[in-house]
Amino acid sequence: MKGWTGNILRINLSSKTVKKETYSEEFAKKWVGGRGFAVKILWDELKPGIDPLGPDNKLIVALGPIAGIPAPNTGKTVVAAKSPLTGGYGDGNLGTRVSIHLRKAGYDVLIVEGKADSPVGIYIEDDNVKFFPANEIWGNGSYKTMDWLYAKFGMGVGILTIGEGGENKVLYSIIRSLEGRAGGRPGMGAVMGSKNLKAIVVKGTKEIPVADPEAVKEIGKNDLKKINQIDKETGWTKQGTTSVLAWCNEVAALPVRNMRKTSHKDAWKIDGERLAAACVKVYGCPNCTMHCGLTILDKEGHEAEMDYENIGLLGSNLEIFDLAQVGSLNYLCDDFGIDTISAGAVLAFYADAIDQGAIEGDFRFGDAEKAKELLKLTANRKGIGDFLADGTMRMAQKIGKGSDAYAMHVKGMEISAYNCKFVPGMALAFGTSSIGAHHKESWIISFELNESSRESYGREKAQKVIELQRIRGGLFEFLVGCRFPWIELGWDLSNYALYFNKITGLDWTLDDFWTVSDRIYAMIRAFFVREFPDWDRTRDYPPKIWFDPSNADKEGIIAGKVLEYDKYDQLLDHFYDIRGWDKRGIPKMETAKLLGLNKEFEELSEYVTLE
Amino acid sequence: MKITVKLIGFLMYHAGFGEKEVEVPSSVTVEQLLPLINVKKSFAKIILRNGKAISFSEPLKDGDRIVISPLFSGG
Repeated sequence: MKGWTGNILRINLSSKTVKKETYSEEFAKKWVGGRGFAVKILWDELKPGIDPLGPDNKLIVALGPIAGIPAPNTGKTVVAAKSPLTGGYGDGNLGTRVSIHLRKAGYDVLIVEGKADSPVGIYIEDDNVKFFPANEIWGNGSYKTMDWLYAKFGMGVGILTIGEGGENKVLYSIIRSLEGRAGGRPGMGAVMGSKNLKAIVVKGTKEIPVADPEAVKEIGKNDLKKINQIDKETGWTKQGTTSVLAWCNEVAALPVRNMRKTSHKDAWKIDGERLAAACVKVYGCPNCTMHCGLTILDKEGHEAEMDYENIGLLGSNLEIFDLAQVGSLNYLCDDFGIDTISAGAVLAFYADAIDQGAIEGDFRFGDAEKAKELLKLTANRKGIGDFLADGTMRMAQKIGKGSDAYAMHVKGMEISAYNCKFVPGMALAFGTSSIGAHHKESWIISFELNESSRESYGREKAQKVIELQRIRGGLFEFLVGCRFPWIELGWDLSNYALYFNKITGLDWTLDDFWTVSDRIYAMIRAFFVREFPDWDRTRDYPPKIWFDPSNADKEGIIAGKVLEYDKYDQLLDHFYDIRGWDKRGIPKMETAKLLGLNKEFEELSEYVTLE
Repeated sequence: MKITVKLIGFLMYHAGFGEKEVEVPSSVTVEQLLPLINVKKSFAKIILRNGKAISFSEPLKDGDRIVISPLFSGG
């Protein structure tokens, strides 16, 4: 077996034991890597109903066949576990040197089980695994922690760590690496924290096994250069992802005021042009030549690494139109290790609930200083922060008074920076995103406006959402790489089949990848359904306020328009039909069999009746 | 006639402006507009007129607000 190491490293924190295991070629070909490996392992090894913040949950670090190889944008790693935020399968994909080092150490998967009795870190160097006490850095932010780890283990090592957010089990805390890299929105940081695990440090010195070393070497040399040339020719990285903000403001899809508004006259103050002008440094992931980590100095003078999602949620959605202040909120989230998207959505929901008279409080939209204070309380679960640390779904359950209508989440995970009040296809993308509302799996607004029509609830939109899920939520999440060369610079997808084949020695086409994607989507859905056997299609609905005519824009290009339930249901029917799922949103047994999931769905049928 | 052109992302560095009012011949199409503002057709992927997508062959009208975007896909 080439391309895969074939090895899993299993570490139990309760017993402080380490075990090296192997996996079969059949497993590799069926699940390929990344979230494919993660969901299958978690399905097999977690009993339904376990506490995601208890010792029975397992943290998976999973790589894929292209991860860590010096080919374009392969410096990414998947982190996964049962999510404390959604109660289902959760994962994230972050840029880190772990992708290179773990593969060079000889492993594709790391499984962390149990719970340490005091704060620890794990140091992996090839075949040697050591535990080190982390009491000294427990209670510190992620920046200071990374400095401490680099001083202890050397600058070039791979690091996954958490800040106070993960330690205090903020349900949307993430895992951090490098300067501004973060991943694991559904509370992967809290899972680490619940295990008293402050950091994983990896150093690998072996060769990653590939089928055609010469071809892979050429790819590494040439394609990274070519991508850099395209970037230079276009100038994409001048603004990176933040160019989207001005466009969203033009098309009435910007999150403003807890998504009650879709554009704002002051949006230009925090757009890509302003960010590019304020940029002092640019960071990137390993094996990347189109660095997107645009960094500005925040109000307090810290380096804050920004992207569109962060600015959309911590800026416009909070009606904070001061870039340095948005930078401060961004920096605090990164340092605390809490998700910028959910944090912005939580604060906006809190301000909105106060505005609506549903809850008492002194936080108002636009108040950056108070927002900073609230983030600090949240990361430490102090005072009102304990309430904010649980995310919008649970906050709405506690508040009541109809506040669930404007708690902007799907399946418990907060919606990222696209206001879909009247963008039906993107609303479907959020509704059916496998792990809860996330932009990473399908982004179809440009397709809706350019190739379909905004008003349409037609089958073409469901088809497009699935096509993008197969690529963005599938291919890039199981080969484990970054989608940006493809989505932002037009780097052809066929290159990824080429990389995979040269690395593994197999002869796969993109169609083979789509089968794996569909299998993984069915498996993730099965994981959720096993946890929630009363599953129905309403779990794929976006928040009620997007359907509320009284929330329609009063002026502008979508004045008077909102989503409609009966039409959204039709769109959902198309989605389920194309996927081979039933009307509840559960894959049919026939579909499962076609995907080779007979055994898993026979087990699922013990929890729920399958069609 | 006068139209307002707004350029998204890197296109503004190619053209040398982010947003401005442009004097153009009447009934100019999008395709004819692009060289006038130094934007390569191959980079202009989404053209919006007053918030709605239009094609390269669409003739523009006095007072139109045209937003031109490169390829992007939402991060």
